[in-house]
Amino acid sequence: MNRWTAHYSLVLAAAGMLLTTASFAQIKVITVDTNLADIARQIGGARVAVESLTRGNDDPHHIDPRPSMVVKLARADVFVRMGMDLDMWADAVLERCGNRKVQRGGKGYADCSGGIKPLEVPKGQLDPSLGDIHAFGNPHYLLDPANGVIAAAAIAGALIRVDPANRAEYESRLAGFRQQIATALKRWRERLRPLQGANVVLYHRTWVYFTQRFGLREYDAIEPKPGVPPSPGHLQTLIARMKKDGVRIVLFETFRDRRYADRIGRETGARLVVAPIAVEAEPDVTSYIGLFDRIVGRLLGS
Amino acid sequence: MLHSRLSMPIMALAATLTLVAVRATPAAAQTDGKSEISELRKIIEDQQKLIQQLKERVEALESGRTKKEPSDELPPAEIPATPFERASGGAAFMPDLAVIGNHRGTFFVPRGYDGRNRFELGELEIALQQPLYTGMSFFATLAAGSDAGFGLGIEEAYASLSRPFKAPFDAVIGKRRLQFGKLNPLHPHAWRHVDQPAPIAAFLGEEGLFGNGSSINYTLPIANLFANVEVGLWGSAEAHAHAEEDHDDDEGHHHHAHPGVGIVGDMPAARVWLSRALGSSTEIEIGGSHAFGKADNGDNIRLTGADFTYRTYPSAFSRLQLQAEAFWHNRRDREEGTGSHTRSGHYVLLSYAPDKYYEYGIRYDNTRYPWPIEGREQSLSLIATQRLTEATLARLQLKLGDRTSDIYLPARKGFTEVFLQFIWGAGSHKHPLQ
Repeated sequence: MNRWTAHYSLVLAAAGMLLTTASFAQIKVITVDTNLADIARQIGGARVAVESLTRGNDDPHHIDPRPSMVVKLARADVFVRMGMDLDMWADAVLERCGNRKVQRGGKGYADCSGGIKPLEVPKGQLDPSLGDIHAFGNPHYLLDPANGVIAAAAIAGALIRVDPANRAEYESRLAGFRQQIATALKRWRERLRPLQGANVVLYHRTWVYFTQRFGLREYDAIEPKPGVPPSPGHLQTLIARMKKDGVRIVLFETFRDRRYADRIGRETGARLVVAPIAVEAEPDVTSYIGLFDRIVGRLLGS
Repeated sequence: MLHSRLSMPIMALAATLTLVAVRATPAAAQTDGKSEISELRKIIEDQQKLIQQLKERVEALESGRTKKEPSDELPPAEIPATPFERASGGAAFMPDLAVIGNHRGTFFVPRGYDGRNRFELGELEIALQQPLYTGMSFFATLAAGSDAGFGLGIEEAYASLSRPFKAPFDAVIGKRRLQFGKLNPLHPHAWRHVDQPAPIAAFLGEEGLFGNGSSINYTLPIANLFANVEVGLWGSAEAHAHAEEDHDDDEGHHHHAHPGVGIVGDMPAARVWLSRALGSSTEIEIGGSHAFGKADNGDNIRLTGADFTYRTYPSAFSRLQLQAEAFWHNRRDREEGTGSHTRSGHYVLLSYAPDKYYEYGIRYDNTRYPWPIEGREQSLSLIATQRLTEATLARLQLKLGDRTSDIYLPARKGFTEVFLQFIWGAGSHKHPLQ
């Protein structure tokens, strides 16, 4: 091999490596939470590298936008958000990230609330005396696994816009995800059948989509209004009503302060069910489907 | 099912109406009047209850709050055609609107201080914001302050543009709080204390540093490090008109010297801001800011700032933050030829929120004032905040220290002052990234 042949071989090898790298370059997906991150992984497969801006055990209402989030979003191809004003904090990050692709209306922007049938959409005049109310309705729609399918479709839409060449793969994965949810939904419904119609006290109205999907009845909430802590009077009334009506379950998220629920549990004998609402809120909850397995398991006391 | 739920009250209503019709015949009218009145009242009461039940049912059906039967049905996985789709429910084409009231009380200050021992409205703020186009949005704040006789003025009004015309940077045009340090960009209702830290009031102004102009900012493409540079050309601007500017004191001396940066006309300003995440819940930031220009008498003025922030989030609601800022104000006296005068000041704030409802802080201020104002303030503040909702809070600040100038509050050795604050907010709005 002469010197020129060796050079050409090296150049060709380098070009080949570059092409190979380019063909496997992953689409960078940034999501506002870990549920959407897992759904994005399901739809994008090996073609995407997904990262969530928040931790699984964060309260989605209380996130401080931080410069490190800007760094992530600046390099993203797709940005996936919950919408419905739950993640308004992300707008400050979007504004600073200098990435037009993921801005509202950009190719890589996906607001997963499109297509959702929102619950508890307030009617008439809204004012702060109603608590931290969301004008577009209750934003915790991902706790109905059926809405996970709608979110998955929104994510697939963004991936197809950014990477149209692999449309068929994303569509196929979307169909597969829908089938997985359909199968799991039957399983969860069957397991929760003994609790159907049971009265459940919630901490915050986070669980409304879940209770409606699985036929549980939201009896009342520990918070008298969204985001407002309970007064002693409210707790006393709630405890008296629970005793009278024999309410046996108090359901709340892993990140909530336990003291109010503990008192209710002590005085009424109700079972306290602490369950995650997001993937990675507990170390072994690693997928969106696994999240519902965990919630259902906790409700059944297993 | 629905039919069966509704049929009972409707049938009862029909039966009662028939009964009323029968009783309304002349024969029925001849019966004892009192008992008939009583019976009719009872019927009316029952019917009102039925009507109420029907109304509630209709309302429940309309609002979608009905308890649906559990179902295994899944929606079709329809991929949306555009990225614009989002849940509807609010009014379209209306900007987000928020109204914020900031009430303040200042206690234990000497007699003669305007506002002493009064708990009053300090400022009312109306915030408007809306996306305008892909990568373009506007933000405006109208504010009415007690110091300006509640005349409504434009505190901020700017458009932010992401990569305008495919340029490799972002831009902001309009009037705004300048990105000078960590605290200045934030509106007073977003601070973690009642009063402005003394060095900011001294060198940036009582209401902070504002500018009207434009800036560009660029985030360097460095992995795992936020490195942002912002450069702007601003015309110095007041937050809103003050009721009184220059004033004569009791001895008839006219005061020209005001605290604040002191620049009039063009004011180029720049900020370098670096931040690095230390794990998923901790962030460390450092920044440097600089602005320069000329005073109204032609003196050259330079203002430099340095800031440091460490914040960590041990759990969903708890937060620990350490923040410090230092400022150096340099004025080269061209009028009198007395040379260059540099004054400096700094503050350090440590705050801890153990949960979503409470926050506690301690702040140390130490500052001089821009030349030629003499004096110094040195103080320690203890701060407690209770949040009632996301936008409503009550705050108490106890401040102890020495003050040898009476620029904002009376000069006193060993003062103890108490500030009380109540902030309420209606509507949603965002704050700039800080």
